[in-house]
Amino acid sequence: MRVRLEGVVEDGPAVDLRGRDIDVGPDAVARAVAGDPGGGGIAVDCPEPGPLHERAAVVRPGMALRPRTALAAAARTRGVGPDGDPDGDPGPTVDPGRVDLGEAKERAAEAAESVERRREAVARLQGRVRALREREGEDGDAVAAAEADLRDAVARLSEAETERAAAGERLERLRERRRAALDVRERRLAAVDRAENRTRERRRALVAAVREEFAAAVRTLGGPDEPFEADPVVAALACWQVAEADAPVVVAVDRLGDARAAHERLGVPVIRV
Amino acid sequence: MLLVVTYSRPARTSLRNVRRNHAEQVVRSFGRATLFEPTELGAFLALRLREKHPEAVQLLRATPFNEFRAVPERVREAASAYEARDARSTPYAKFAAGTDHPGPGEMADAEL
Repeated sequence: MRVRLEGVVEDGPAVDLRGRDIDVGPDAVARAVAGDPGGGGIAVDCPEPGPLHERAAVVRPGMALRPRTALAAAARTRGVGPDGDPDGDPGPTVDPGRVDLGEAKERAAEAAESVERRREAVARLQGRVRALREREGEDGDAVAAAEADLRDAVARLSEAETERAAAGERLERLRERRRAALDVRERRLAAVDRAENRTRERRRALVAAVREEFAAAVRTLGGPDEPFEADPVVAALACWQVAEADAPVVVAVDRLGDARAAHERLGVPVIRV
Repeated sequence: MLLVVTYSRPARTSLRNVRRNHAEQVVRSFGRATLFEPTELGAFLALRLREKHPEAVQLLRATPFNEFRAVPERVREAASAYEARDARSTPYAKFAAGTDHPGPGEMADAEL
């Protein structure tokens, strides 16, 4: 790699930026490693960063690290673990959209209520007509008027029943469409779950493949016997020791000494800040 | 009771949260579905979930099943008789043929 900073050029796998009268932080250096303008006038010419850079591009005090994820990334830099990336059936990719039943349901409910109301009205008028007919000497006009009301009410009831049937059919059609949309979503969800399980299994296999090596590295760095309980700095350094990388790691801890010592220990290019 | 079925991961997560916070409204839980009590609160929780994930939450109403009210006797008898059959490998259609038991097609066409 080649590091350019304020007109100074440094070549080689171990570059120490400490002790210079410049203000460029570890994050700026990491950005420069990733090929972005780092800020502070630093530029780093190096190969593409690998998977472990996404997890631990900078090793610094107080860093956070998910050790298993990082170790899986380290294993991936070496090409160990399961071959290829069998992604399987991704499920339906077209969004089935949304079928809104709200309005149709409301209309069906209203139509049913209206039928109920009109049926009651018909029953009431039927009673009235019967009563008028039975009463002796009732005025014929009153009976005729009640009968006309009843006929109207029956017609209105029949109208409402027709509406209720139409609303019911419409709701049923929409329900079927919605069921079909939900079937699509179900298949998509199953595909997402399957993909996640595959990712998890792949990661487990990757971790298993380099676990012993990682545990040994953690121990030589003074970490605990249970390697996944190591301090994030120790775990990150052990991951880098397991990994292969052509792009540098930015080391901002003193544990391994200067850039050269860190490079020799980790076996990857190092920029010490 | 109200059956809430989810069809996406965010909806499933929301359902789990509701389940945890309102355990007393939960009758039964399945992976991505939950049966809620038939109370207004149960309905409120179900409707809230559907408001949040309109495209990925399905609400269904479930009632206890009384086969003595809902299912004709010949169907109930057919079920008992088939489970008591001698030859385990006999498919139902063959079992029912030539007996008084209703055939699968006949039952499929008859709504409860």
